[in-house]
Amino acid sequence: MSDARGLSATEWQDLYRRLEKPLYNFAFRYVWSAQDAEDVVHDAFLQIWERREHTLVATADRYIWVTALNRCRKLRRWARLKCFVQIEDSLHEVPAAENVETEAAHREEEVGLRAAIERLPERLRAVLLLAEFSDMSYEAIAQLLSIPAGTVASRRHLAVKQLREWIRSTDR
Amino acid sequence: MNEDRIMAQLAPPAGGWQRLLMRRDTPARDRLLGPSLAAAGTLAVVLLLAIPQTPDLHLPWNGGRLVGQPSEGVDLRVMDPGYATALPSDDPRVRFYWLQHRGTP
Repeated sequence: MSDARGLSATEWQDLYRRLEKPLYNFAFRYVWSAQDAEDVVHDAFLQIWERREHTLVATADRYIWVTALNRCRKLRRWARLKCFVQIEDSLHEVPAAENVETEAAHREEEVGLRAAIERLPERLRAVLLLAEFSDMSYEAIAQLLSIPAGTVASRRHLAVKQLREWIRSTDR
Repeated sequence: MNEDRIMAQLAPPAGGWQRLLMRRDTPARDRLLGPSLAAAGTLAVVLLLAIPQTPDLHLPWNGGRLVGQPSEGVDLRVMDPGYATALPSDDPRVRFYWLQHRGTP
């Protein structure tokens, strides 16, 4: 079924089914808006669709992740220019909680997580989110970001450490 | 690598695949129309804000009243064949005319 020289409609659909959720989660933690996160995912898939004849199935995943990453970075630059992103508006709907207190706790957690991720420098954020959601190996992430694999591991370690410290300090 | 995942997995909004197909099947020209219009609107607003405001506005004749300046008045021109008879006015800034179409009694 797999065409070595291009991506078929079925392969494109399979790719979407497999990557929609991780890509959405990745994009959401970058742009903090459900609508923007979906747009990022769709933009990446439309781009690969338009270039499907020249896309190898084997490299399609990587292409999608790079496109999504670039799109997220571009949206963040725009958001910085606009400066009117409001935390309350961009909160993702959390799964139905048992009671109001649980829901409030979920929201608080998400606000804390967002604040912590936002404090990370971009080089750590990209590694952290790719490692968290992409299922790619450190080597693959390293190739994607054009950095050594060892750097991916150390950046992820540092990002997780900082994130946990910041979240712990705001919990106190 | 994800065995020690630190973030919750969120569910993407339902109907994403259908929306993607709709976007894919919308001609590129239509897809670009919305953003293009938005960009043009933004550019127009920026240009309007960037153009320096003229502090001293001079308008000819009766347009001056719109900005609080005295009107210099304008002469009456009857475009349609007919008659215009000047009537007396107590205020020199106000003129009255009696207009009569040619042929009417």
